[in-house]
Amino acid sequence: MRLRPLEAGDLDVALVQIATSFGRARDDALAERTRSRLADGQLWGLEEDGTLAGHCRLLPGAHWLGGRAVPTLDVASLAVPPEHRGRGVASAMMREAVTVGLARGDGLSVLYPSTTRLYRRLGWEHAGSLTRYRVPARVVPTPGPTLRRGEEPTDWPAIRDCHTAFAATLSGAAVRGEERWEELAALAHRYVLDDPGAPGRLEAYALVEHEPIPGSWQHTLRLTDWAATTPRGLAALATFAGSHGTFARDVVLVDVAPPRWAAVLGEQDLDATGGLAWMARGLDLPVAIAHRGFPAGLGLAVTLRVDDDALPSGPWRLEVADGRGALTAAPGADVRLTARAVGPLLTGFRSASELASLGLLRGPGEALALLDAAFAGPPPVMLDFF
Amino acid sequence: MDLAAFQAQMRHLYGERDAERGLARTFAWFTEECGELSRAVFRGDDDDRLTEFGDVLAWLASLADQAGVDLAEAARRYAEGCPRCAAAPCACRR
Ligand SMILES: CC(C)(COP(=O)(O)OP(=O)(O)OC[C@H]1O[C@@H](n2cnc3c(N)ncnc32)[C@H](O)[C@@H]1OP(=O)(O)O)[C@@H](O)C(=O)NCCC(=O)NCCS
Ligand SMILES: [Zn+2]
Repeated sequence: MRLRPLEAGDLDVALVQIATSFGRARDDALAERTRSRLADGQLWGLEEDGTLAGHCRLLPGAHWLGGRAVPTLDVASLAVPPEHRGRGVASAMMREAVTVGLARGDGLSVLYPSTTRLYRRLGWEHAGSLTRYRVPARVVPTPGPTLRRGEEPTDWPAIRDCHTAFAATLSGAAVRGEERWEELAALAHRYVLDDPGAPGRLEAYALVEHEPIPGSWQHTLRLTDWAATTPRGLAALATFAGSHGTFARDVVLVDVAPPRWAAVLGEQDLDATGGLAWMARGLDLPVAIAHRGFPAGLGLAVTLRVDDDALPSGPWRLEVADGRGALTAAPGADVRLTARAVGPLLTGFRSASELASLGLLRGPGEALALLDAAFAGPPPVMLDFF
Repeated sequence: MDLAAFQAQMRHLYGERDAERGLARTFAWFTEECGELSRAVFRGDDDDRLTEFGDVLAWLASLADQAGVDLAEAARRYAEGCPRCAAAPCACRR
């Protein structure tokens, strides 16, 4: 059994596997997207006696952590058709994916699980969330400036820059790939807030969809994508949403945790309507540490090792200084991590002390306190599903 | 066989198919081979290693060809000595 890139001749089999695994209609759009992902080297399949027993999407990604982008292997669309299920095909694929990620020099692997057990057993662990919120449009206050329609040719690049500035301050958010930007570019309604101090720059934007509510004269206002890099920007977005109060019933949006929008609402009207956990697994750890940002002004050193038979696992000395980290070979190890501890520790989803109390890591209290400080940061979130 | 001849041989054997495959997917195959190499190095026997080093070299040559890089020219970077300190053996610290 080996995981290999899919070839053009595998397209039909892959489409059947997608249709039967995800309950998707096999239409032209699906075929076209799959063909382009295949051509891009993102689709990999496990071959068994000459047949494709399953396939998945391994996409070269990057996620913001501590203000810097860490190269990741993002796993999606893992599909094992019913006739091949229940005998370890998915597990074998994910084990092989770790090797692919290591060979590519990725620091972490990130995925949205449809079942936690499968991935947890192989070293992935919950490491962040994506949360969708809903608020009645009528109750959103409207104290801020007004957004304009973003239809100028220069608006799209400015929107992308605004997103990047916003996402880089979050932990976990994906560095957006072209495929996601193309999807978003297809949305009809863009609204922006110019930064009066910097021509060509935006303080906020919203990409909007109106979704009819069956049997009602009202609709749902979806802020399918938004970003605000200033308080004025967030106030403008709220004003925009609140101004829909007569015809839109609810406003739906993805926000960080705790939600920034709660800070501009008068009461506790923002409800989480759907949360998804995502999981992460360590791959090339010296790469992950070297690319991640750390709190400025912090200087420390801890020795550690990971009990992970799938990859090089130390012992190492973690040094943090000037907002950067380095992992170098060193004898001895104060802290011992299980493979599953690495994902949540590196994204800041769980502190080292918390991981210790869950039995996923152990070490002297002093060393744990240093790791707590090193990986402290905002709760990790993603804004996009992949 | 020198590097230029090896690259030419890979072009002769697989050039057309690899061009059809495109750079992104050729790179995917290259990483797949690196995975196999890692298994051969850490868990394989001598035969496995010989095979996998050959395969990685082959994909590296195909990749170079598609990226418009002449491997022999790339190798020249190391011909006179360490590219950083120019000494042979390297005299850089660490
Ligand atoms: C989920 C899926 C990929 C599993 O494939 P598979 O080859 O049968 O998986 P494996 O044999 O390697 O099973 C490994 C573990 O996964 C978990 N698992 C597999 N199928 C599961 C299911 N239907 N429900 C819950 N857990 C499941 C189990 O823990 C299993 O181990 P166990 O049987 O020892 O308890 C396959 O059922 C599938 O394609 N489903 C539809 C699409 C999907 O959900 N993809 C995952 C996207 S993140
Ligand atoms: Zn040197």
